Amino acid sequence: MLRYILNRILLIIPTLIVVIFLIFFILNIVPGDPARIILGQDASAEAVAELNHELGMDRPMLERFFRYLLDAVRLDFGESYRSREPVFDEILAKFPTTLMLSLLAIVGMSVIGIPLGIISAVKQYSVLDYSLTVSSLILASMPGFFLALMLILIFSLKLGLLPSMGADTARHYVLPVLALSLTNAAYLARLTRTSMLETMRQDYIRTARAKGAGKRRVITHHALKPALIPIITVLGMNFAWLLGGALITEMIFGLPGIGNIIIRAVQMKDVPVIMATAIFLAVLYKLIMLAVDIIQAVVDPRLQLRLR
Amino acid sequence: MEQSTLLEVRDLRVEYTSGQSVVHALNGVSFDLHRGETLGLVGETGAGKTTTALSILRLLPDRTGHIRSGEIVFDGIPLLGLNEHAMEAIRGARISMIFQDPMTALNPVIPVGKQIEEALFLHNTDGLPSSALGSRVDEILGMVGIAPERKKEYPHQFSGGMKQRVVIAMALACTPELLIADEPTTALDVTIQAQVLGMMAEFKQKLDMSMIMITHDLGIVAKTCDRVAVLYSGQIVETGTFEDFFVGQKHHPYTDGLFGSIPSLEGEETRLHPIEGELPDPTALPEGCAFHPRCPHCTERCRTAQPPEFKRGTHMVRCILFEKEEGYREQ
Repeated sequence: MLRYILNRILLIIPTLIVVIFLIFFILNIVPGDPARIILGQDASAEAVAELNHELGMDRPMLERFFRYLLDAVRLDFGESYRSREPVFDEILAKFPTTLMLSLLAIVGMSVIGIPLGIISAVKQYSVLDYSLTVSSLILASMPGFFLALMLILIFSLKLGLLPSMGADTARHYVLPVLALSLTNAAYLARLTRTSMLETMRQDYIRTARAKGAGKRRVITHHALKPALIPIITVLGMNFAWLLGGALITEMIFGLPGIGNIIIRAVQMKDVPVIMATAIFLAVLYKLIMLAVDIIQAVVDPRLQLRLR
Repeated sequence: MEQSTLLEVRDLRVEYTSGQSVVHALNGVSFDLHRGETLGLVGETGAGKTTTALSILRLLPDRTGHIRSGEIVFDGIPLLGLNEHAMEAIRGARISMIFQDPMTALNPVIPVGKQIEEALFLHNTDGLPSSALGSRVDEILGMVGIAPERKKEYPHQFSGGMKQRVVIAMALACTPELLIADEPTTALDVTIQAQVLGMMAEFKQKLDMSMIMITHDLGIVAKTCDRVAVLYSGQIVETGTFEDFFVGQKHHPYTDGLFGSIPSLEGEETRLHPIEGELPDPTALPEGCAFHPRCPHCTERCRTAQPPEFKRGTHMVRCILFEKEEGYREQ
């Protein structure tokens, strides 16, 4: 098991090299001159050329690529063109906000989605099941930004209960977390329902009933664990997506997180920042997938064979 | 000597409904099971064998399976009248079931020892401490030939035959009076089949159980059963003792067909004689005798009227051919 985990972590390295090369290559063919971006349109051609030389931009791409790799090993990802601050420090400074938001959103969607899905499956074809189906369909088909704006409109503007901008207090997180969890909770509820119904059809559920286990016990002791296995994967993917992808929500609620960094960096063509966030997210993604595999193996002993 | 009856099934009718269509799974099944006896319930796939078993345990699928009429009396208790809670107290404790496919019958995420212990825990009427339940699990595992140290392992770590032993251990944990075995060896290799059947016969003796052996394999019937009931299209077409079946020469045409599809080591025959045709569509049963479309002796009367039961001693046949047979009386 420990060996497996170590192997998986080591495997991140080649993946990263490929990721870095791809980003390097793409950003290289995109038009735009770093020094020109830094110095602005009014700078003289000589000043631009000098700065490009200073940044090493006049060297061939492959050379710059390998130099970047060497620096990256020392966690040196260069300086932001815009702020001239070390990129890595900036990411680390903003990361806690995003991590907090993503964790809360995952907890939120699980707490709402999974129990509703289970109830829906257990009371299949009941009024409750139908109304959950309809409401989750509405929520799931609603774009995230629309839901976010509606939440601001109702809870901040009309009712004045919660702040709509910033990340200073815990109350600032309520609306963004709601916006992120509600749409995903709807999807999660559907998934849980399907998975639960599928599990309830299995032979071993009938075996448990034949042993004399009551309906409730069958659900809690026999069906729940197997039914949760596919849900763990989805939660992991969601978490990875939230860490890098909650851009719009972060922007709408003015949360100073990774999403904010990415959007500003892309606007400014701040190449070192784009590179570093992409690498950072790739590492996180790999680590989360590893965690998902480990959690699944804990839940489902059949998968432990895979972890040898 | 009068044998006492443990289980009485009377005129059981079961339907499965899905949307508009109604599947007539059981159409008036009646049989008795005496104490200490093994009854073989024989028939091809779809005849209603498993439905009969699930009806006795009241485990038909919730929304689709319905017991329309009939009676099931177990040790004087009318099972169909019990509430769910009382039924749970009987399942696994007094009536147990072994399912066909051991590969899927065990929960993949629970250690086998825990799965056996659950049966004990659910019916722990004596309030035994969990340490006592644990040592009982060890004992049962030993009985079915599994080292007690393996109780912490999960089903996927066992072979098919070993899994079926676990299933049997689970069913026998509370020493039930009635064991329903639904094709317990169909999913196993032939060599393992013999082991498992031998083990079941041994436990039946040791624990003084009665057994319903569901199978489509007359070889298994010959090895294990005291009495036989042949099920065809949701009706019992012939019942009798072991001798009635394997010594007696006169059978329902369907039973003859079943015997005709077994290869014989001594006979001159070079070919098997399978029964032509298929089971009738259970959503639209034929009029008259359900077997008439496939019967080689079919008469005009068979097409229109349900055949009555004819009985001689312990032998019952539902076929009008027995009208003229000596000693058989219409019931």
